[in-house]
Amino acid sequence: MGQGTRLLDEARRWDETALAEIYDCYAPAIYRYVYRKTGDRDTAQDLTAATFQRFLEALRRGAGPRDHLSGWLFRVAHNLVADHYRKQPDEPPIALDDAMPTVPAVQAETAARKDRVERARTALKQLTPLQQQVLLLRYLEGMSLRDVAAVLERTVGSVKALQHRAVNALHRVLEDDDGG
Amino acid sequence: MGDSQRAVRHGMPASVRQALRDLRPVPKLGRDAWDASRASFLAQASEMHLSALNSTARNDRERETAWMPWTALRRFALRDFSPMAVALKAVLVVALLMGGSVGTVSAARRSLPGALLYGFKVRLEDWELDRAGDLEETALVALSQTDERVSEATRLLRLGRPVPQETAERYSVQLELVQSHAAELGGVGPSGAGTQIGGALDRQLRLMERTVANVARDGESDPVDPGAEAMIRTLRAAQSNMGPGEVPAEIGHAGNGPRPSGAEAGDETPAEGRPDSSPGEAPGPGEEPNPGPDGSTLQDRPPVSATPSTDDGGSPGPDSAPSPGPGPGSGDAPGHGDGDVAPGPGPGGADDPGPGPQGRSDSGRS
Repeated sequence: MGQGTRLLDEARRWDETALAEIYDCYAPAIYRYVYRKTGDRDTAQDLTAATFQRFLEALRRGAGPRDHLSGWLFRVAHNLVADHYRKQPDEPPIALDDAMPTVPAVQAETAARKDRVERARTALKQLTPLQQQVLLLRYLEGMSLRDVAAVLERTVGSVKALQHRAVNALHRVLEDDDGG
Repeated sequence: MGDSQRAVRHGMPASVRQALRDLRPVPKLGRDAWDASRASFLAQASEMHLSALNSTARNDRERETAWMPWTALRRFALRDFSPMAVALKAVLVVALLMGGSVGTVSAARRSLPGALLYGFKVRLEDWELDRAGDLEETALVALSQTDERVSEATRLLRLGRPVPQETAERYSVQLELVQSHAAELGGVGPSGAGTQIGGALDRQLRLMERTVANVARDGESDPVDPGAEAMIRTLRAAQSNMGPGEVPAEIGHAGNGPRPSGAEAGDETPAEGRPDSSPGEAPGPGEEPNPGPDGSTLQDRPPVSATPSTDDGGSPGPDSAPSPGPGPGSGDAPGHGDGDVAPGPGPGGADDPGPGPQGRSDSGRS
């Protein structure tokens, strides 16, 4: 019996220690995942809390993950982010030239970094949800192919192909952005 | 970053690599923020756990008691609001109310002075009097109520209980009402109310006197009950007040002399069919069963009032009221009434000018 399975069994009996351990183990990763998709700290915090609330509600109903707790939590987080964007449609990005006053050099560097991050996030959002998940989980969360496959409920081969298409797609989007 | 990822990124376009690098930094949350989030998560878990426990306990209880009739009834009464259930509930409520009302009225009718429902009985009688339409109907209703007072008094005496003064007073008032109306009717009426009144008074007097005598004989040294004595006095006064013209022929025994009353009534020959009748014993001249104008006997006729008399369960015996009036099938027949209020005396044989008195036995009215 794996660690995740043991924790899940104890969590189903509402064992406080197991629940705390699950939170400590997975909440930071969920927070990071949500933040990279939304770019907003408060939203990331809220959606992380909502993810774990869904987990508790699933336990109360006797539903929830059977074995892959990590995958289940990331799926819920992904759906919550999608819901979040459905409720709050994207506003057009504000052009830095118009919005930012003249700033000193250090602040200008910070602003340029923010601009790059925003461009990267915007490019990422143009990929399909699955491609976004693969890139975030594989390269930013550092998950193995097998773990990503568990999160996405796909085979490892499928995840490999998905990863390849995701990288190419992002490259195209970034090239188009630079060219435009 | 693992080796595999490095290998993957090795062949990755620079722009993609840079974009992913830009996305990597995530603002760290403070320790307090994580602690607060964690505490909130655990509090939620605790709350849900308690809720789940309560829900489980409730479900267990419901499962254990679901088969019990009262649980099913409670569920039906409190939780089922389907149109059919609402209609059924309405019918049940109406049925319960009606059943309760009928039961209460019936119990009140049987109650004796001093009982919980006796007050209701008295008010019911008042309402019946108020409801009575014309003079004759009022007289007959009041007459049936005097019958009821006599029945109450005799039952109380047999139970060894005194007759309350209130009962005697109420009897007096009702009897006055009967008398005043009888005087106005002049002994006649569409249904012969005046005739019935005279016969009923005679019957009541004989019954009271006999009961008092029997009780005194059983108790030997017991003094006569003051309430019963007052009622007998009232009755005698009422009879003496009703002149010969007002007293029907069968009471005055017109042409046959005064009919024996009071203690003499106890010497009357029992009617046919009575358990204490001698075989082949024929009723006396004034004791023959007398059909009414329609050929019916007294028991066949409808009661004057809807007021049912009570039956204390006594069976006719040697001490029961003799039945001088109707013969077979009288109200004193075994298994029917106790003979408290014996059927009225039969009309005076062939001399009887009108309908027979509406003597009402307990059985005849119940």
